[in-house]
Amino acid sequence: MCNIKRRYQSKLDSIHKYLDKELDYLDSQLYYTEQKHIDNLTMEYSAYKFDNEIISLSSMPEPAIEEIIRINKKITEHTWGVILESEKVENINVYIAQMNKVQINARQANFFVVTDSEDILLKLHDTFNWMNKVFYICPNTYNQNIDDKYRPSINFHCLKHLEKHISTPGSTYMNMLKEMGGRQVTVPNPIRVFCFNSKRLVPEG
Amino acid sequence: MKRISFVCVSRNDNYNGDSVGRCLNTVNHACEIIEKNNVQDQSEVILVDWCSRKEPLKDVIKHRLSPQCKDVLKVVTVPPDIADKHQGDSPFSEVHAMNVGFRQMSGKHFARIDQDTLIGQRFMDWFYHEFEVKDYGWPWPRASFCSRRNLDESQSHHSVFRDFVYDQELSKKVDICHEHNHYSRLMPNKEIFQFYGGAVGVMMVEKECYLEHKGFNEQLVYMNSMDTEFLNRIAAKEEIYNLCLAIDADFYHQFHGRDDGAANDTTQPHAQQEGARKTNSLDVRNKMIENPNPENWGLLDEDLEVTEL
Repeated sequence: MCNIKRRYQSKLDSIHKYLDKELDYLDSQLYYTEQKHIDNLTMEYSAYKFDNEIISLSSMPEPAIEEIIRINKKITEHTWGVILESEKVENINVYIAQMNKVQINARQANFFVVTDSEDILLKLHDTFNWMNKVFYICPNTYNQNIDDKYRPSINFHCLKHLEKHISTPGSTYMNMLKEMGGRQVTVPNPIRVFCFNSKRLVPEG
Repeated sequence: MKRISFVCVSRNDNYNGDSVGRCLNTVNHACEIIEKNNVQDQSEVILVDWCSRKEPLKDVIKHRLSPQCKDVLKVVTVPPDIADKHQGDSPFSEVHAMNVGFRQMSGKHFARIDQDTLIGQRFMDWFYHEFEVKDYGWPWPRASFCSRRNLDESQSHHSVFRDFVYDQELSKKVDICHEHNHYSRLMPNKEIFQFYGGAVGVMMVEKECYLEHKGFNEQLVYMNSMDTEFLNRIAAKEEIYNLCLAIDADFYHQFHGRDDGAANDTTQPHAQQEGARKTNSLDVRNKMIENPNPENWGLLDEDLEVTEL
């Protein structure tokens, strides 16, 4: 009798699990049909100029070093650096497509974006979030009192901890990262990037 | 052989209000933009009239077609007695109708547009001057997908819709329908909703690829999901071009009410506007299924009337 009860219970549990999963899925698809845009950057996101001169860590003031540490806390082993010099961005969709490819291959991937354009940062922040609840663009600003002259260096020191990057062609930071070695920098081909290998998205039989 | 066949399917009824008027706008506009770009020799428009229970569509529209339709438009008529043999209890089997369009086309590429969708100039530039024209040293994918923008009621008016389609600045101000899917966004369950899972602007498949996959699955006779199921089969084997990102969603859906629209399909835009039409099971998006089409899919054995107007 106990065995039968246990088997019933186990079957019931698995049915519940299955139904919960199905409901979650339907629910997420319902959310998916809504379009809520992020229209403003919050205080944790800011665009900063690029600079060829990088200040070494030892020459940085303490708040700037603390800032690097705080930013790095949101960076994981799955974070990609994204370097976008606005004057070289002809079509932002090229970079969105490349970032899509990253997420198709590694769904937990997020991005640390370095750009001099608020519009670009806003567009990416709006594109790579889920219902304004889950954000895939890492914050880059915690302490707004840090002098702007340190910002390019803060950005660069955060980027250099990352192994993989997407960049506009010939960007200053890309060249510096390459010189350091051991970093992979992808400059997307503006036509080819829209070819998607979607095998990972295809459901199983 | 033409390079492209734009295929749309419709019938003479009042689906969601004046569907014939929207269909005419679509057909006239397609032929107009083809002429505007001087690519008539590479293009054709196939309109499949599936199961008009009143007068056939060709008779209703013939006096309202623009002169640009001459030598570009073909109407394939599938009368109710034939359509009913194939579509079971569905009032309108899009999968059969589209496969009929494919069988009757002469183009290298099948390009499905909905009967209420307008083609934009960025697509024309891409298709006629870039796609398979420029050799970048890699093969162009055989299948492409683009979702669409939604013209609102005022933008859809017959007297202004061209402004929004042709003016590059205005065109980008039209809201993208179901924007999430054109970025392939991650969902909260960490799954990715693929870019080809949303509302169709154009679904373009090369003829050989279409044949290899035996077309749309003719068991999916109800509304929606049939295109995702078809593209899933293709995506399992080869790359698909995210045309939506490449041309920034350059297809435009004319506004209409949705009283007769899809029921119980949360993946669709306007899901809150519940209609009455039965939809294909969402399961067909979420698992790979064999296409059981017989060899004569696309009503190959039926004798269908093809009219050039």
